[in-house]
Amino acid sequence: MDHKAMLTGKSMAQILFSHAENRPHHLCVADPDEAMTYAQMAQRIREKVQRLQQLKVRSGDMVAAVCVQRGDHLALEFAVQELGAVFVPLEKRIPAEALDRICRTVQPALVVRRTDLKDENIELMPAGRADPSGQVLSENKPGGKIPEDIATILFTTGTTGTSKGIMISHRAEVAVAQNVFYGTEMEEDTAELIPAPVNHSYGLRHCFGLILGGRSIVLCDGAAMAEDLFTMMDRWKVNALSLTPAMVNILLHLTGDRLGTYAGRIRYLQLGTAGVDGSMKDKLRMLLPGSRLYQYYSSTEAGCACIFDFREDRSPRRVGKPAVNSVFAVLDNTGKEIRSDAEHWGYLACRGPMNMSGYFQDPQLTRETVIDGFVRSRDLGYIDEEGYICFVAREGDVINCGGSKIAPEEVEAEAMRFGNLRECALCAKEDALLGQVPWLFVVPEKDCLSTFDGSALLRFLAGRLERYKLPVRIVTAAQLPRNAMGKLQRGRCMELAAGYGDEQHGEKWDGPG
Amino acid sequence: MERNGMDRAEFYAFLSQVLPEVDWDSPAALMESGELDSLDVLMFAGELYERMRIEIPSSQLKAENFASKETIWMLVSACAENGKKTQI
Repeated sequence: MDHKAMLTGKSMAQILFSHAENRPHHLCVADPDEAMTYAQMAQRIREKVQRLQQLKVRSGDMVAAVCVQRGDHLALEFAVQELGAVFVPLEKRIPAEALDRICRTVQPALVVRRTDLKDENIELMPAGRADPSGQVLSENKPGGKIPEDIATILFTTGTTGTSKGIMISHRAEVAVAQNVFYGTEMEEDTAELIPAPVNHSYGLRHCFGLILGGRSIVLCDGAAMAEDLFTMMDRWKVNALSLTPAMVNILLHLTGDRLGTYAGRIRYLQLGTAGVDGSMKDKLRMLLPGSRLYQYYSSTEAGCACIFDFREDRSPRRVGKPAVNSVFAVLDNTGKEIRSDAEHWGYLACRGPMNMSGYFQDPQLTRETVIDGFVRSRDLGYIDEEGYICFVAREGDVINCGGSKIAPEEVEAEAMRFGNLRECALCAKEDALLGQVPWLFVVPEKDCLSTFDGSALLRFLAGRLERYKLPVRIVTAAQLPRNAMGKLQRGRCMELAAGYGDEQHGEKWDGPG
Repeated sequence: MERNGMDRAEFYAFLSQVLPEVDWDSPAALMESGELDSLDVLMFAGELYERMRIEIPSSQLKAENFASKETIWMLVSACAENGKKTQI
């Protein structure tokens, strides 16, 4: 397949329609409520196009829709895009305030509460548009400056907490689908389970990868309803999985090694949205010894750009090699490309057709992020001598202790090897003398709470790390702050650290100081 | 579950305390309508164990068991009863 040729003029919906002609009876998407072949999905999209036309949705309009983890949601997305309108997916339980803010920003023609598009489940925003609270907005279409070819705007919360609207073109959607499809080497009969929400880039893009190749999507509602998840796996003969590290943790916690009972069936498992620590990789290697094990390093801004097969490779910093449409570089803080190695880090940056078109109505942030076509991340890393992209730390997470830089993941990886820890996080505490000093927050396993010995952990780390990397304090915590996708919120850990003076909170042990 | 000291009304109050933002009287199935999500269920299961030492086995983590406060009450009552039998 000439993947570059496919990037010209095709949308994901059009690719789906071509599969509806060539393999109409092949399963396209199954969810807990229904299953649709490619032909049925194509028909569903056409029905929604007709309904949207009745509602006077036209090219250039925005359509905001509350997400449900169902094939019908994907059908709605494609229908909106077929009309040349822009799809704006919303969180399932979006707070009213956030909905108002997004509506004021994008000024949608339509807000969809349920994908059946019945009158009682939609809100029309006619000319002289008002947001759901009744406030009348500008009569103009949003900005009038949205680039052509935009398929979707994904609103995401950045590390600053400010919501950003990331504009994704049709071309970018196809390109990211190619990154996924070729990266995982999908077999002809792949049926992949996707519990991750399809209003987020991770879940959505893995759906696109499957549709690109005419494979099968199996949706379920997260991993916590574990019995439902395994029921879907059995019912639809799932042979591939797309999970987040948080989902893996939940499954292991709830069901033990049950995932391992599928070892002979699962061809590949792919992980994304957050880093994967060494102990989880070891566990997955043990449970699924014959499966390909992939980790995606990516962002909503630069989709599925880098993929890593970690079956055999145990390098702690490697996050993979560039995907089929990606080119990586390492930039300094002026945006200039630098030579990098394990001692000389810079900002990881990625270029390719899968990149976003920019941030909606935020040209300044776009200029700061997209430099010469490269989407610059805030991740520090380097490219090693074999061409692997290596991640060291998020910019804000690196601890500068008296001029010595500490990458938290390195210390955390060693701490996890101590054993009997569910998770840990190394965070910076402001220090008058050294600038920052490292504190280690640990969450012991439940049955090890009373026996956890922080002094022993400190001695363990002292045998493995340079002195400046040793935490000056270890504190036990009940849990670490994470967002809805399971990503560790270091900023909030740092807030916890800043709040600790000499008061006792949980158990604490003092390090070398 | 009365034998563990909590009657139905008290249990419903407990639900509201643990997950105050959920509309427990919604006529629609709680998970299907999005009123309750899987992470809410995890949080509830954790609180149930912490406060009442009642464990919900993973085999019962199904959307149908969390369709309404009534189905949750039945589930938890059954789990409480099974827990007592295990202890005996």
